[in-house]
Amino acid sequence: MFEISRRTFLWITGGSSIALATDPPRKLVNKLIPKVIPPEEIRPGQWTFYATTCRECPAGCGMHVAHRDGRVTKAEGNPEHPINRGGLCARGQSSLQGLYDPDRVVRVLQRAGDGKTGRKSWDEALDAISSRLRSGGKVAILSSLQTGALADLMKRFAAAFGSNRLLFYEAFNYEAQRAAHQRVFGLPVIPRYDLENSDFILSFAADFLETWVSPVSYARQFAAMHGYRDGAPPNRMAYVGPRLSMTASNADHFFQVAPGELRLVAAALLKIIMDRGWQRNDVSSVRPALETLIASFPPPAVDQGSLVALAQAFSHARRPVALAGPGAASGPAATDAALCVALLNYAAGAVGTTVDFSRPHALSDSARDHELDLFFASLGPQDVLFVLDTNPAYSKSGAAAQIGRAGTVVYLGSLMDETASLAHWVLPIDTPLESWGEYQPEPGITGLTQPTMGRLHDTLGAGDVFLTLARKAGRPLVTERGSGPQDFRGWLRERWNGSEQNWNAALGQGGAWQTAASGSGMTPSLHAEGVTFAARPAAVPVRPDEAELWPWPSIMLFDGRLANRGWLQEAPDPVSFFVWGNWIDLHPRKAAALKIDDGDQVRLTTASGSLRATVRITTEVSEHAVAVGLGQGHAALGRNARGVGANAFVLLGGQQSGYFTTCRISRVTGDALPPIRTSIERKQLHRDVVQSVRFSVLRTMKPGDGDRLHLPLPEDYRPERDMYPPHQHNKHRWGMVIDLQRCIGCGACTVACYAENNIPVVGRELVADGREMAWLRVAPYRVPEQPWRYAWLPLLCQHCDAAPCEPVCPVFAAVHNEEGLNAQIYNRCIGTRYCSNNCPYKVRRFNWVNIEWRKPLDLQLNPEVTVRQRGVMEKCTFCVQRIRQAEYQAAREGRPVRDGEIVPACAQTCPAGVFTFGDLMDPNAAVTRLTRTDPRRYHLLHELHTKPAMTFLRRVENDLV
Amino acid sequence: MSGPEKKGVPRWASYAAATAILASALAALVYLNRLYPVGLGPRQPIPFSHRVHAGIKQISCFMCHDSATRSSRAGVPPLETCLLCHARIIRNYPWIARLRGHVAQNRPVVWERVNWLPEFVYFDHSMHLMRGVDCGHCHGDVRQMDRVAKARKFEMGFCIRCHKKNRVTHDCFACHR
Repeated sequence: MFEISRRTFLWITGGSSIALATDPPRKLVNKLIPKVIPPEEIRPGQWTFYATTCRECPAGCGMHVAHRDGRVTKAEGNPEHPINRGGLCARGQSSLQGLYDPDRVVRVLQRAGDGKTGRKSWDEALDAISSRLRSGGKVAILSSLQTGALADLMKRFAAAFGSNRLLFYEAFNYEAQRAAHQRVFGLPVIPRYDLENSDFILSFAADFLETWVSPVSYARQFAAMHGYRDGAPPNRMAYVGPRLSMTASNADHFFQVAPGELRLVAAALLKIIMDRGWQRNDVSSVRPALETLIASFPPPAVDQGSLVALAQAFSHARRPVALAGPGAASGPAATDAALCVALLNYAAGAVGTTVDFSRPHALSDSARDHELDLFFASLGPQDVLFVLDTNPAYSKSGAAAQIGRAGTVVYLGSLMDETASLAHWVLPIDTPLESWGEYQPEPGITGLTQPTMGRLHDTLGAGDVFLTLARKAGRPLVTERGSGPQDFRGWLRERWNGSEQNWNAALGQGGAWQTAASGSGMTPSLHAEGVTFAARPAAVPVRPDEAELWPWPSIMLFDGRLANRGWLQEAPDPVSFFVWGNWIDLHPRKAAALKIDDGDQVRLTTASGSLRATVRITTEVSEHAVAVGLGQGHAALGRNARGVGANAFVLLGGQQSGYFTTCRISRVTGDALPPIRTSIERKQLHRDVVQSVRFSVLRTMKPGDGDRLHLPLPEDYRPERDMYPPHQHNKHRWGMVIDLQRCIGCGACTVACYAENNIPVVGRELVADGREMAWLRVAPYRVPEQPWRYAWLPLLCQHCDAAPCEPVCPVFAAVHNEEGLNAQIYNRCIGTRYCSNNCPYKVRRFNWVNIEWRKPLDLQLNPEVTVRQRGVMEKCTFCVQRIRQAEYQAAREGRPVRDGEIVPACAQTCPAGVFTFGDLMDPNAAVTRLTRTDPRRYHLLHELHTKPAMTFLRRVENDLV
Repeated sequence: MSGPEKKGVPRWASYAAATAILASALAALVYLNRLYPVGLGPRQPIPFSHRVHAGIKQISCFMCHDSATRSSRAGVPPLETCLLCHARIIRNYPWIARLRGHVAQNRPVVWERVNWLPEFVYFDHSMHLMRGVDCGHCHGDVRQMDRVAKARKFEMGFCIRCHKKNRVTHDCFACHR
């Protein structure tokens, strides 16, 4: 008998009994399943990219969706697409979470008379609906904004059943702007705004960097015009509005006015321009109307000197442009403001140059309020109402009751939202990433949508549902050319003339577009007779407990359709840095008058409804306004969205309530969950983390002037300051440059990083404990001495040469790698968190819990990145998986890695071109040039001598205007 | 004189002893890898023999594992690849007939995986082949394997030893990310 120690005995028995009792599930699936006949050009272990079009909002950006082994894992901007040119916003990034949403409707549901829902098969559903149509049901279709093949098909479907009731419902329909353009120019459209070539943007509460019309395109154009190019002063932007939105804090001049004063400021500017003869086009015919408007109200609370300066800057700019917002506003006051803006554009000569009416945006076809009212009023028991992928029951107050009047409501969508819960039939349809389609955001640009992977669930394409229904009801649809394609793909294909080769080329490119000459706009003439202002004083708050309501669309959640996506709920609001919820903004004076404290529960009441939310007291909102974000407060939709925040759409409704009208504020008792903030301090506390340089100084600097940086290279080893020997790098030393003048704070990079690096969404409770996992945050900091400016600091791991995290790790899990990256080796990490304590930039994140990816969200996980487990520290890796991929590719092709070949996820998605990534040891790389010679360069917390690989370029204060 | 009759060893016992000796000899052969000099891997749904294909017929590894030189993965060949030859030769051998049945029905064969790495290790076949590492260095002599077996334990020590010997990267980020 061999000797066995007591310790070994216990170890063996204890271990084996635990193993037997728990039977730990093995993660590994030890099966290999090759294809029988593989598709061409698809190799195991390699990415395949599908070009498609983002349909998360009506902007229609081009996307490349990365596909691997039958599933898609990442959406990126299509660099060739004329709308976004490679950028993508946080919402576009989240399209994958829409596809893999665990709360998706996965089977056909029928709601019986007793309100219970039961499962049905597709055949049962289509038979029942088509027999209803055959027996005289009248068709009405309410859809999200569609163009091209699907729009044509729905029109023909409605016509086949003797109806023309087809409306494209968008909660943000730019009604005021379209009405104003109708009256001033006879063109009820949203024109194309050329911001890139403009040198002065004047925004009237148009949040064009967030949600307004085509935000990725405008963000790119704004960064191009507002960024610093060698020697030239950055162009300027002014913002007039009641709330310091993200767009507003990017403005060089912010004028805070009450909502009702927007039109007055616009009118006053127009009058100044006319009085002083600064106009380029004659608008004197509208002077009487304008003077009536100005005389009907007290003057706006902006001093005359500033107004004159603004009017001068605007009218004397080479190519000025004025933008009218907000997109969701309607009613006389909003139309008045948009009228004044249209006239300003006309007077300043912007129409035909920066405002191009020849290329109206697709949103010009969305339903207008009176069309919607007529549509809803026409619904009756004979009607079969189809609702496609839009949610009026949530975003239009009163719509739920009117939808209920339709005899049969058929909902086609992918989530069980508020409208779906009213429907008799819920038909699960493909998400845009699974379907064929096309979308034309403006004439001359048609994006194609193609399936990027096979279907996840038992769903059908919306077009196929309509085609099948028509066929089953005995009225098969025919195309323009008279043919009757069997499926929607055939329908789409037929609209694309030309050979199979052209079609495949278009699919590969993501659509078809002409390279348009800019500024070739038509110049519509002024219809002065159309210019009449409502001129009725808006209900100016008379009671002390009333204020003008200012609902604003959230950059993350848009009109609320995206509220079930964890990434977007956990991505902070750019200005307040709140996550998971919405809140009410109130000015301190108003709050004091009503005896409301920060964090109190407050009820807002308008004629159409009321909501309750936590109050935030801030001067960011006008004293006469109360602001609340749209998009939250869902009663349905899914587990992430339900019960988070309050729905501000209930306050809007008709002309009696909503924008430019008052709402009552009352303090209520009760405890709701307060909003959580992931960046607590917005003051810089003299740490000077976000630095800027005056343009007058910068102008005199030559390349190479400026700070002497301590680069993360052996040449900057200082024996007197460095405690550890210098790092020798083999071939590369990766570095990044961040241009703070270009950063607009949109947070797309944060969400892209979540998508690329398998970062878990931890949920509200854990975020409240400070346990969010974002590797990259874009925290807002106050710009010193400028009350209305925030500057954003994209903060990710600085990949220091003398990294404070590395020497404190007892197990060498935080190590410097051969190419200069601060590597975090998860399988070695034991979770002491010393590294995080020692990191001066606070960019390390600790896994406090094991995160369960709710199925099928786990299909989104990037197979090139380890999924971390509890007890492990993690941080930015500079997307080392992409570096390796590029290096291996270069090695296989026997060439060096090219500069610009490696693009980390944050840099890829950034619409503003903030990030530059490359090799600091390559003398010709862009990062080397910027790091060594750009006069704006600085290192964050340089006094610590960490020698970071991240170089920031200072913001430029334009003091020469 | 009587005493216990000296009995011969019972016949069953000598059989048992012979069996035991034979069995232990067999066990010793198996243990010493004499019977299967390269080990015996898991049973596969179709008994594909690497010994026949790579050994006797001298077919190159890259004939079937064609993405090894250009991708991180070597790639398990699609069934189409088998039919490159077996559409013409040895069509009616029962297992090959079954294989052709799979192809006809577009039904993949579910192979048992033999070599695997933990999920936090990222290995790239193409880079190792570029540096001239022979397949057999990690996968053993598959030319002798009927059922492919795991030739090496893919533990970190195995990787590092070779990386050290060849003075190539010791970067943790080379494999862990």
